[in-house]
Amino acid sequence: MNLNINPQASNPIYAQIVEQIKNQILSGNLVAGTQLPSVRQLADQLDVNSLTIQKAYKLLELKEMIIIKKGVGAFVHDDIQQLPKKEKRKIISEQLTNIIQQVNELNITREEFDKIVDDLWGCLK
Amino acid sequence: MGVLEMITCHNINHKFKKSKFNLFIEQQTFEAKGITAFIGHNGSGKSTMLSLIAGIMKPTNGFIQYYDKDVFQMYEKIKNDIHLLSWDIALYNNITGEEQIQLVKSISPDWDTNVEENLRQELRIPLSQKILLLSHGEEAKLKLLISLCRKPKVLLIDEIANDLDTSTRKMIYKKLDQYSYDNEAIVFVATNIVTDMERYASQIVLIDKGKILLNESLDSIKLRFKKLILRQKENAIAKDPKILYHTKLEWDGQSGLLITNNFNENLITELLTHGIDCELMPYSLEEIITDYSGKKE
Repeated sequence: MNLNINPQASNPIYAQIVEQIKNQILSGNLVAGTQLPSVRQLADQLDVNSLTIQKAYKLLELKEMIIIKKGVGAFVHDDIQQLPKKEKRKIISEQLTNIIQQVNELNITREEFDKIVDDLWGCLK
Repeated sequence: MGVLEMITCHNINHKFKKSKFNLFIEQQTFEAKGITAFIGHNGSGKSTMLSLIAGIMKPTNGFIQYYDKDVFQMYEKIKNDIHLLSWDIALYNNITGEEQIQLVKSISPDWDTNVEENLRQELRIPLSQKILLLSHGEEAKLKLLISLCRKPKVLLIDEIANDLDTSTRKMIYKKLDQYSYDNEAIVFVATNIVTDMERYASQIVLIDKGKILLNESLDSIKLRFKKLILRQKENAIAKDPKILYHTKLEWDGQSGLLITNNFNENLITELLTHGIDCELMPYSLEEIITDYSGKKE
């Protein structure tokens, strides 16, 4: 598993790990059932303390991204195929909120907005 | 786990013979698992703190408890649980590393042979050599092995290896981290190398002139101390923002820099109502500490 952490970044290290593992799961890089490295292995690989990894794994478990089997290890959640849909919707909704606010500020109608989306969709897809 | 905190300081007021200031600690508890870093300049009082917690020195006023025991009064009862490791204490130079291990083993009731075996293999210290002939790093590893085999619940380490090379230091921190994680032990490290602590410490205790300025988890510090670059949005009217929650604000009407030790969502909302965009910048523990203690070096 390839992770890049920067201890001096604004975000705490555990949050960086959660973010990156989450993204790898959502992008399909880590598939359902994949076993993650042990706490000790990952701490050793990233040169950070074990409690940080433990905290990141616990948070990922709370988000239902992974399951932790005691004494066995941490695995990407089996139902992960269902989850990305929800998560992906959430990401797009967040982005769209800003855009729709701007659309309102600029007095663009719903029809005009749909047309912009259609045009761009044609260009980018 | 019990209700009692692991280490509690009660109204410590310790007078130094030569220093201008006293070590003054009203009420503090230390219970975080993992590595707790005591960070402060030379002479700030961090080494004294360690000696007081280890029960080796008696504070002029006040007392320190390990669970319900006074560490100084009941030293005989706690001495196998709390261990102070100082890098500059000399080992016997004219015996071998192996003999030194056997010597300490013979007086340590809780000596753990599993830990011993693991560390013997992982540290690869030339134990058949006389201690005098060991390199600085090898001697540090030997001291580490001896300390961990004694299975302390609290390990206090003074000035961790300032003159050791980076890879040896890293290895020592890794071993301390694993020991603490496997045994639910608390490891106190007094150091002024902050960059190491950014990776390996979970709790930060900032000491300055005999006072504790911070005793907080590193994660929580990183969440509330932030540095932001500010930019006026193009179509917004430039006005002097009255921004709450900042400790330092430089603003020229177009852009600026904001440092806060109380970052929250309200701050972002407030900036937005002023027509200001913001971007979070890297903010290292070293910078945070420098800004917080108000000292520029």
